[in-house]
Amino acid sequence: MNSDYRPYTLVAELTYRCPLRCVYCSNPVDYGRHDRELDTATWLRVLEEAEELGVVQLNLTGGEPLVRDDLERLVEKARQQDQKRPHAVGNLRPSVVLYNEEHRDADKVGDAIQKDLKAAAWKRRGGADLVLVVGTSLRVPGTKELVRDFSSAIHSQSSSATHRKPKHKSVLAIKSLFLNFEFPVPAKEWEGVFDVWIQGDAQAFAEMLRHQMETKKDLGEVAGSKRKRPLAVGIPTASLPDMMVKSKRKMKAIFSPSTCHPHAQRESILDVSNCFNGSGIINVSRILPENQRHAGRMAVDHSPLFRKRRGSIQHHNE
Amino acid sequence: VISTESRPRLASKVRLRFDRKGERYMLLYPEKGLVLNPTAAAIVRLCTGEHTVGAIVERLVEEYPTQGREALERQVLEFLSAMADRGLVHGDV
Repeated sequence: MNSDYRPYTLVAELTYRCPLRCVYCSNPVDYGRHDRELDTATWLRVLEEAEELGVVQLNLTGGEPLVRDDLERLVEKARQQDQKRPHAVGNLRPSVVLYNEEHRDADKVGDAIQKDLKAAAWKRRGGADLVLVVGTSLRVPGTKELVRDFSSAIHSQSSSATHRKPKHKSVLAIKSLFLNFEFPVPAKEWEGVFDVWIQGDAQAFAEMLRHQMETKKDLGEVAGSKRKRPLAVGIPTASLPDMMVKSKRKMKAIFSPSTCHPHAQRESILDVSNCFNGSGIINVSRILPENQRHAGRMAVDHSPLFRKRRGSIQHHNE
Repeated sequence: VISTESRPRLASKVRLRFDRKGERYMLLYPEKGLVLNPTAAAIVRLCTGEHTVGAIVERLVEEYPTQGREALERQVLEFLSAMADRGLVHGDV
């Protein structure tokens, strides 16, 4: 056989099982059934045949190849074919970067972040409306730094837009929001980083927000009003007890005074579960501190939280 | 940029592998490969991050005595720059 015309690479899709459900993945969704996979003996034979054909590169992929119980066996076979000594069992190391390890592409990641920071600070089109930090207790130095950088970028945006029409004066400019079960250790480094701190279940909060947006839409349609955003933003009662039970812990919203409405004098911690009136509608003004009630109503109207967002930055980590 | 003071090393995604069937060296990296001729392989094998380009040239002068030192250095720099452009070699000083 002419050695120029032979396979060089074997892409072995060992399984279609995967713990992730990424929307862009080309992994077939209905193939996650175990009984359709090739068994160990077949793969070992395939690896031998690949070596005979002169394959020089083997990609063990999937799905998530690490869910296969025989992965180590297959890797060892491949190394043996490659005339290398076997790995110690349990020595497989996926290509992940652990905390406090240097990222291989640190430079590229840094570049991308710098561009994002620049874009986040834009005032008009393309600029971020909100920095939303979810699912991290902010303990890893790199993450902390990233979050602080984004927060200061988006706040630099608002400070340069101080000359606005008077009717916007009382608007709470919520530019950064933190949402997690656990809060980072209170320290000076977090001063002014987040306009709003919400303690609770991220999923429950997202559900709540979704209900509010749907209700808002309904209200708008019923009223037939020309207002683009109704004053009251509500959440249906039915879903509430469930949600509160599910989330176990109470969901709290904390508005920090430093970046909140200028009239705010103190930090307020309010329990959202107490914010529901008899009609089962939660008025967002109720989760605002007492002395900001009025501003709170305005916040419902203008807060970026309830506007359609472009390019809000979500950060998932830990 | 690769200079004589650079200490070239293969990018982490790249493997130098002997092709037993074709009896030649290949560079393998995700989804692609590059067949090396013997002189290219001789250079790449020394790209471990330990040796400077200058030192690599010294070594090659011994291996290929018929080539002039200057011509060798020029060719090595040219080759490594091309490799660096493809992202296969990093040239840390």
